Amino acid sequence: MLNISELDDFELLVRTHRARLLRLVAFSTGDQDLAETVVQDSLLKAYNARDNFRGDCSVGTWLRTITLNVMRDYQRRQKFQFWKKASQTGVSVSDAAISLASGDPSPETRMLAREQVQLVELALKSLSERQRSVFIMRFLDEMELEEISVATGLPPPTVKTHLYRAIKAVRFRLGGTR
Amino acid sequence: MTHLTDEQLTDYLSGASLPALDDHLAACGVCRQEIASMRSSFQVFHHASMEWSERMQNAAGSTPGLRRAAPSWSWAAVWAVACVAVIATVLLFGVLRRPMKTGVSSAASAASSDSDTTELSRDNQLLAAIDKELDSADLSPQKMYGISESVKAR
Repeated sequence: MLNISELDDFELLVRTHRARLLRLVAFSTGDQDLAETVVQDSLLKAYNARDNFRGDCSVGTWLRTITLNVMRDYQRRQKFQFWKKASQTGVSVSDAAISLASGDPSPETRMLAREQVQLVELALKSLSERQRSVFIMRFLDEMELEEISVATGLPPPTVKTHLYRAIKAVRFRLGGTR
Repeated sequence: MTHLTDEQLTDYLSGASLPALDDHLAACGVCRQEIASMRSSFQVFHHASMEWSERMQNAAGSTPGLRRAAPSWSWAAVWAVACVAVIATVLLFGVLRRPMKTGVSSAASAASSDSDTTELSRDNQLLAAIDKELDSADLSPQKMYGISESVKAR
């Protein structure tokens, strides 16, 4: 994990966090172009405001707080263009699932991986943006509930409620065994 | 056997470690299978989405995060070129005017000689000032993003 002094290195900050932030925004909003813009602005904003970082949470959590705020600002400004645009630059990771499983000789494994990814993607699309962000932070970024609470500014019980709805939707799509 | 409720499953998947849940999972294969299946799907999605994101990052170039630096560069360059063009026009105009004065009377020529010297001196000063300004221009990405070097070197 980065410490405060490492925040001074802009290139390192970008290298360490950009991909994860990009994923958070891209899968929360469904808009790849917006994600790139938001993440770029967020990293710059964080770098310029690094003196304000007090170290009471991890750099990753702090960056996510900034990123989610910047994301909301952008969406407020682009309210009417947003959904139209989202459909043009939609995000999909199904192809990545194929390449991930390509090391496995079994075609069944590759197909299963792709299907799983598609189902999770579908489930995420049925959620609200906030629920998606919470889900991504918990299960993809592996953040604790308290960290998500700090990053989103939501009380822990609310985070838990969002998470509960997200998991329920994913379980429904994946066809829970019970 | 009663199985874990949706809330309990969520708690467990969310990282809660409660003895009652652990005890149930130790004894119930169905719930264990459910948890394993969910985790496996999350894991596959985690890797696939991370690969997608890293691919996007690589596609953005060697200095990701500085994508919008280009417009700042362009504007700086445009201003520099515009300044040079204006100065060149002024100088050219001055040079073209000079031969026309050679045909005038010698008295007028002496008077205009002083004027030419002053004008040349002024032009030279202006050119020196422009050179200095262009030399001192810092167009590094940090500068374009308003990141001062003194702060960076902290």
